[in-house]
Amino acid sequence: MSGRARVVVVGGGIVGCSIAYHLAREGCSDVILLEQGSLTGGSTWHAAGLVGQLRSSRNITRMLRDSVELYARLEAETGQPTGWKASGGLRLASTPERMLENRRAATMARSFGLEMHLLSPQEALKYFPLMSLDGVVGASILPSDGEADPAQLTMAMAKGARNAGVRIMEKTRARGVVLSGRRVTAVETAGGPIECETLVNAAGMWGRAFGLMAGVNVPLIPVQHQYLVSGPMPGAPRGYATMRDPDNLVYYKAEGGGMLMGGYEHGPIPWNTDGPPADFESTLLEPNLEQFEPIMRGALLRTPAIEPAGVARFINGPESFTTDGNCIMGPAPELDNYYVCAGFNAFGIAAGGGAGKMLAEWILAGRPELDLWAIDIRRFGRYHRDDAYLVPRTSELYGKHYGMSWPHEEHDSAREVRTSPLYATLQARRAVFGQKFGWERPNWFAPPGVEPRDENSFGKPNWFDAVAAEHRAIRERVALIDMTSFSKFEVRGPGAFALLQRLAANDLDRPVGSLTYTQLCNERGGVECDLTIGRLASDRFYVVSGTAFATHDLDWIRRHAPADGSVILEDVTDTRSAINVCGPRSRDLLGKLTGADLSSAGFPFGTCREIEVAGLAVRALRVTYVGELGWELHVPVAGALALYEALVKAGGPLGVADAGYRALESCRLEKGYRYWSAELTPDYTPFEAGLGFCVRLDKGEFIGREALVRAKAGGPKRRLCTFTMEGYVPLFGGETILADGRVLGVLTAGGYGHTLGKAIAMGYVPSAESARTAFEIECFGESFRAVKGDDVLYDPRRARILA
Amino acid sequence: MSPSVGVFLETSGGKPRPALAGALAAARAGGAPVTGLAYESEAEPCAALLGAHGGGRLLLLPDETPAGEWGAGRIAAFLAAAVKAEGLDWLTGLATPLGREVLPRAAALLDAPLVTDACAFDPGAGTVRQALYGGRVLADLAISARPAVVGIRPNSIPPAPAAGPVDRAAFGSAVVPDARIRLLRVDRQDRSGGPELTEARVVISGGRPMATAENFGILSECAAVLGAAVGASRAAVDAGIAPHEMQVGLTGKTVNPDLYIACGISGSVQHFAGMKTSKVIVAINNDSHAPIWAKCDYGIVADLFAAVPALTAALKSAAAGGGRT
Repeated sequence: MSGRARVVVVGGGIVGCSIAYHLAREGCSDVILLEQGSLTGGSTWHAAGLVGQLRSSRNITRMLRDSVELYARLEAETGQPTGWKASGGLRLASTPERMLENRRAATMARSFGLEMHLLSPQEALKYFPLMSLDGVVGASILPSDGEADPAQLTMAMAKGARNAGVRIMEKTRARGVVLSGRRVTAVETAGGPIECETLVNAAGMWGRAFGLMAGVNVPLIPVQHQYLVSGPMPGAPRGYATMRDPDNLVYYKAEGGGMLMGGYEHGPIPWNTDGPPADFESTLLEPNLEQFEPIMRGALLRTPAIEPAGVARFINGPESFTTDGNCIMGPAPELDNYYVCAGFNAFGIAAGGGAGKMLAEWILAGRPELDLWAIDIRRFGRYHRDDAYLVPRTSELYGKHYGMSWPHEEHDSAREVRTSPLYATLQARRAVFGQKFGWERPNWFAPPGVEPRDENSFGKPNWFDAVAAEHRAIRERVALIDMTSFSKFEVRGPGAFALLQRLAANDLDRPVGSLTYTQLCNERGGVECDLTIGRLASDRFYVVSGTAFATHDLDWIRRHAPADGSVILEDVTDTRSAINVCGPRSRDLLGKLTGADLSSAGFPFGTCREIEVAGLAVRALRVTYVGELGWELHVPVAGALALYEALVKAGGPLGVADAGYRALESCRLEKGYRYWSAELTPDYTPFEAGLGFCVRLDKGEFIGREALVRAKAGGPKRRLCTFTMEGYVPLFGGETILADGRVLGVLTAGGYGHTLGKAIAMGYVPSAESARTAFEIECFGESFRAVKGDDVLYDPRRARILA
Repeated sequence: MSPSVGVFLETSGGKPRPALAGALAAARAGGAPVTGLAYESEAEPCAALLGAHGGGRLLLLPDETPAGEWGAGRIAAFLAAAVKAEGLDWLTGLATPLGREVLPRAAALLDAPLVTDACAFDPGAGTVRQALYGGRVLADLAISARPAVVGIRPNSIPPAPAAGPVDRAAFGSAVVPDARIRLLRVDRQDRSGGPELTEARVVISGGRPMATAENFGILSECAAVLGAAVGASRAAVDAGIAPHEMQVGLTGKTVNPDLYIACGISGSVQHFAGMKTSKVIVAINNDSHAPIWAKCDYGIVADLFAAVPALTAALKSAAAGGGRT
């Protein structure tokens, strides 16, 4: 048998079936779904079936709400039972900190438009009568959460897909992928190749191995996950809410006359990290009771009724987990027509319906309806490929599944994967590092007498004063920030200018040596990338972006690049370090080490030059993310340490200080500088983000121009606003913005401005509301007065930058 | 010297479990006389079973409490004491719910190795075959320590009936049960006379298309003729038309019959996890896309409400010596 289809979906679990169902629903029924065994036979069939909706990202929450909406109608639509019940989701707090987390979640749910209530222990008992209230501080209930029978639910989607014309082939293993350049042309099966225009890897636990067949990195590993079904419990109600008691590591749902109980222990057991054997189908692992003991202890405490009921079934089924607890979706950056939808961290049943919908839209429209950066496959880089990273970090995150989600939390495993040449030196200077995209970055420097480590807290952090001192050094003297981790690309060749000019909303037709801050927009005018582009030569550009966006931004540029070889794209991140010299004395400091003209006439703001500093060839960019005079010195890695030491030595008399990313954050909030993935996303236009000054509609054609012309004419629907609040307020992003008790939006960022001496927050509100100045911001369930300020709270005339 | 094997003769409702026949066949294969372990009040039916399956020594513990209500701790204490006193090499029994409680306790008291879910047992060679990963992997284990304890999965070893003499003996040694655990009460659920689901040689199960609890009556009628137990799919249980005790599948019971008749069951992987070791699977379903067609031995594409009563009538007629239908 050979064949062809517009889309071939590999994997017949809930995710693959949902993708096929939604593709057909959107009018694309020329779909073949390949399943190596039987539908659901990978990990869907043994899933517990809890369906929760609230996640820390608004759009991922929206995706899960789409699941619930689908599950509620699917049985009526297909005639196939799904076992869906909106039984409600109860979340207990067995510690005071957890109740704070519940409060924060309730605030978040409110801003996402999801009904959620905080409960007293007695009220919680009504939703889950089988528990002991011993140690319960409080709870929250999300009434629209529920549960389903994963197998039946999947069969219902398969039936819907089949009815719409999708061909589902069971017992058909995709055993190879045929490539032509950067495109998949066919999938190999025992019966012959199946040609396709688009391939979807929904192979779950096999997704990593199947991806590697085509050189695609899908960083997930199977981890053993266990739950039990109790014997009957006399007097148990027939139905009750699903319940999670994270402090005791356990979750529950009604099952038969008793309950289903499982959980997430620390130190889980990764299993066959390169993928299970092909015939591991409809198969479970042997129970591991020792491993389950911490969960059983939690269960005996919370639900003593489980002891006399006994264990009717004990299930050990491996499932895919990832290094950050989120699933992996979207276009693989290695190829042009290969999508991935896998790695669901045991929320595949909750996410399956919505994820299939989003991925189908992504395939058919070329982008998802909503920004899905948190789950985008392009959040990973090459360093995410190997077990050396995947196994320890995934294990740690599994163990933290029911941990507190602390603000600013860093992880312990798989550290020191990518380090700057300054790493050891900064560590000796008491740097406390955080990890981003594998890079160790200095977050703050511990002064003498302060222990150099983060203490997790919902209150004022232990590093608050240290960051204040670094912030003052930036504003008052001069500071050095190691920005080696910044993503850096070179785009060169005869077609380089034309390509970038077609992508950028700003005008790049400027002289050699100029720096341009610009957004790259999609056809809807949403912001896909936020870049600083230096013109090194007429046909050569140096592109700088945020640390975490290397894969994503390079992919966006590559997908639009001509295939005729007229443009060469190169990621040069690892070849250059970057040291930011910033603050009013930065010119004085650099002047000691270079003969180059640093005056504003000789080296104006917004330009870049190749100069010698301390005898080293340095690419200097006069640019700032803190709002002061300063230069980024991009130096070949071999010279980074020498440059840093020369700067420290020369800077001594000027009071030079080390500063980290937390001081940078405080400074950028005061300046209202936007950050891609927070204030800037594909969901918002530059006009809505207050970056209209970066959009040159008159420069000629560029991607998104038509949409931006309309957006400008119609005026922005929403407006990014900056708010200030008196004193210290524990803001971390995700808090609700209200006016007169009405929910208007959610914070994209929040923190403290040490020069202003106020809490600062940013977030979008409807344009009609943006004229007012008085708002409230709800944080941990409490309302705080917030004043809308100017977009730029510090030095709005840029006198300090242009000095 | 041939290894000596003790078999715990578990009873239910005063009768030894039929699946013990297979355990006795395996025990006898070692060549030495088998030692049956039972309580005095159940000596008659146990002796009858032993006598019909090769005979052997029947070691009886005097009753102090009503038959069938000793509790796992007391039974385990008896078994362990008997193994020690008689110098038995092996202790075996069924991996039933009671067996799963009793045999591990006895193994702990004896500090002996334990293998459960055995599907073959050769005391002469000292090997046990264990079903792992839901029966997909069969591990042959060589057990070097003695005594050793083996729980045999019901219906996995064929019986080998053979008449033999039974030599009864009273077990004189004191049995000290664990004083920390006392059985207070036994509540029995009405099984309406049919065999227990997990042990039945024939199971007939209904799915969601049964539509109502009353409709399960047509399965019960058929089951009565076949000597079968009645099961249900998860969808039927979720719909509230069958009790959870009847659920066959991943989150329900595992059955291992000679014949499994699935009526209106689509045959999801979930359901198969509970019945895939059935020797013959028959499906009655009118949905020609149902996954069960790929997995059954015989299929009837028909409305179950027509097919099942017809089957019952035919079976009744055959049982009554009627002609072929």
